[in-house]
Amino acid sequence: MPTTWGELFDRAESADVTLDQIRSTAAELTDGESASGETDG
Amino acid sequence: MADRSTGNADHPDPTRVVADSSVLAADLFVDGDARRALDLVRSHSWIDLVASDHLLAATEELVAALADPDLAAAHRDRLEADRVAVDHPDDDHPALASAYRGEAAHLLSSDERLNSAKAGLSMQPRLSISVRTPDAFAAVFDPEKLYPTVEDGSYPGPDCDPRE
Repeated sequence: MPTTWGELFDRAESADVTLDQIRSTAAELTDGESASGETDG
Repeated sequence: MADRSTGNADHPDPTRVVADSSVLAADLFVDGDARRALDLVRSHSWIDLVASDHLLAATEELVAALADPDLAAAHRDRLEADRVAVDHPDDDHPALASAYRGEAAHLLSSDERLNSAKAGLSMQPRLSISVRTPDAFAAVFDPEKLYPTVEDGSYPGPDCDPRE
């Protein structure tokens, strides 16, 4: 059975991640994939 | 999850919501706008979260980079259990294509470029999708107003625990 949302939120809270970190990491991953795609293409 | 969409190519389903990977991660990590927006979805059995495998994979990668692979996998498992699954070509934007393929009326994203990205989809969309930030969605999305247009009877209130 999947973990409840409450349990997931509790586990995630300890990571102490901020919105700025989410935005910057998402941008890094997207940029990395774009660069990879350009290389592949 | 069963497909009970009322949407079609011209009229997206107002009970279907897509959130991009950043919003899904923000929901997980931060008790803020994204969680408030997605609590509206989780609180109502007749409102569906739509997501492709590509979108789940992008979210898992993001959560793993921010925290750890175990949390990312548990989060993905939960999203897989809750979502309406759709498929799309690998090259399409995962959130945007999930919205179009799933005939969802709402796309939650803080990325303003998504509106212009519609032209990059393999399937040229005719759907009118509302791309909103989580706080804007939470402010305007009203389940009580929507309920009579999609279900019989009067609005019974939230019917699910958003923490279960």
